[in-house]
Amino acid sequence: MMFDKTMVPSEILYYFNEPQLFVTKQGSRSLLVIKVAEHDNANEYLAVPTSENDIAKLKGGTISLRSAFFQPWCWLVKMDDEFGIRDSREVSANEVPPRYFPTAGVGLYPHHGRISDQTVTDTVTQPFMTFKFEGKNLSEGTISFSTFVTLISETYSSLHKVFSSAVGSIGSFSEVQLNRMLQIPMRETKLASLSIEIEHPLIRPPSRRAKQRFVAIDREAAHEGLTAASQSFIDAVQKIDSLARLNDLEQYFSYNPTTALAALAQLAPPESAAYEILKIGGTASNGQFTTITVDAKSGKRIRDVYKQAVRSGDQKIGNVVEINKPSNTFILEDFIGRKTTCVVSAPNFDFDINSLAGQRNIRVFGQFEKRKMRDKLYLEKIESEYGIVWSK
Amino acid sequence: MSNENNDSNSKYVFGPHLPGDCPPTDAIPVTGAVFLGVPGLPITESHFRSYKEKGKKVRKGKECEGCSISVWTSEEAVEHAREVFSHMKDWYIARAELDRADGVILKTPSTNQPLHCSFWRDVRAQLETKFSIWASPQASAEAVRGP
Repeated sequence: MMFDKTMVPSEILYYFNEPQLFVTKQGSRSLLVIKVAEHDNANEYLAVPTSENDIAKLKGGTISLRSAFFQPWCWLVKMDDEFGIRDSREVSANEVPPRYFPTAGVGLYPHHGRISDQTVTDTVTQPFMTFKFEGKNLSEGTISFSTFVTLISETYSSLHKVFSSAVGSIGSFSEVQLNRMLQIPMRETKLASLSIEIEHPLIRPPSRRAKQRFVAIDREAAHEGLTAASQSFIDAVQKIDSLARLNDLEQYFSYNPTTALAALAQLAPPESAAYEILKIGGTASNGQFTTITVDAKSGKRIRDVYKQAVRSGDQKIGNVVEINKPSNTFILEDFIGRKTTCVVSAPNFDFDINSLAGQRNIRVFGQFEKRKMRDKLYLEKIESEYGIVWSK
Repeated sequence: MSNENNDSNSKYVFGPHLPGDCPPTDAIPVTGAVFLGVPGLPITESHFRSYKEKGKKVRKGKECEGCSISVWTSEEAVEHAREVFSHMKDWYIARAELDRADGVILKTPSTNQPLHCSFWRDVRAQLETKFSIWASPQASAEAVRGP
């Protein structure tokens, strides 16, 4: 975000010899700004995007200051006494010194008493997940329309991969049915350094007509499943990124699910594109909101390893779209729509091939046969997110 | 030349830097406990200089406020401020029992901040001898991350 030369307060929320906490306008956007440190020649402030709604909630004591300031993206700004900006840098919440944030549960004024940070954070200020694309082409106040459309589309597709597995775990649905049921609410996008923030995905009740065909859906279980899918995605992205930095991504295949790799490979920054940095924010399984930064170097490695896995003759990753029990075969569709007939060549009598119905993001290994119509794979092993499903 | 302000009980002498209509007529003589943020020790006259006296530019329309010093009048307000602002955790907090001869105070100058008080000192008041340290800087232990 490009700032004006100053951050003159438009509304002061806390004054003590000088404005200590205030709202400032930057173009059409409002920022909430708090003084955090005093240096010899300048004061340091923490600034976050805000809205009239958030300010009203702060004044009303329904959100804590910490919740208002603990946002995935913020700025540390050094200003002189007249609020002239000397220096500013964009940082993730994790890069802000923890003591800069107001103490947990403290409201704007003493009479607000203690306010639950967690509740507010979950429902009001902190998005469920964030995707931020950075690059020189995204930081000059405008964005190419085609870039915008591509990034939105790729992010949706990537999230669809992450969450469709969770929906698939509560029933067997076709792609069309999944698309109808899975809703991913997106917050208003922030252009000029594109940031996509989503709320917790929802499962839309089946239509009246559809109800006749579907079994009832346990929406609570689905909600929990979607939360777990998000957490395992964030965990996996952390792992993938750290392995990519070490150029040791092959390790990932030995024990980890493939959904996250597929989803991340779709978004990871290539070396020459509209963006060079991808920052993914979300709550990991340890309950902490975490931001992972994937740069172009790691991004290329992630894409390369994923392509290699997808194209490799003796292994495929995809969704089971059809089962033929009499022939002990199923059709696997990969993420670019290519179908492969998978043959359970030495059936294990303990294994019911029907258990694969609706399985998503499974990885199959075996002897590959290139064919005119549809390629074939004589299976030796099937892996899902939860480990080995079957092996010869 | 100093500004003079009369009330029924005392005659105040304020600094020459105050605008003519300052302090406001609804400011009242200070009495009781007052708390002040002190970045460093010892407490000196410089800690009682207003924003304007420190040579800083005062915002238009806030000339009178800029000639006052901000104080807290309750422990609750001090503790709240130190929970909100990290740099205030590094301050000493000084406390004094002031009496009406020391200056005038204006409570609730803003609906946004009901506990904020502006204090205009009488230039004759020896405030640095009245204040003593009430709280030391808080340990700079890192707060727990995350809401």
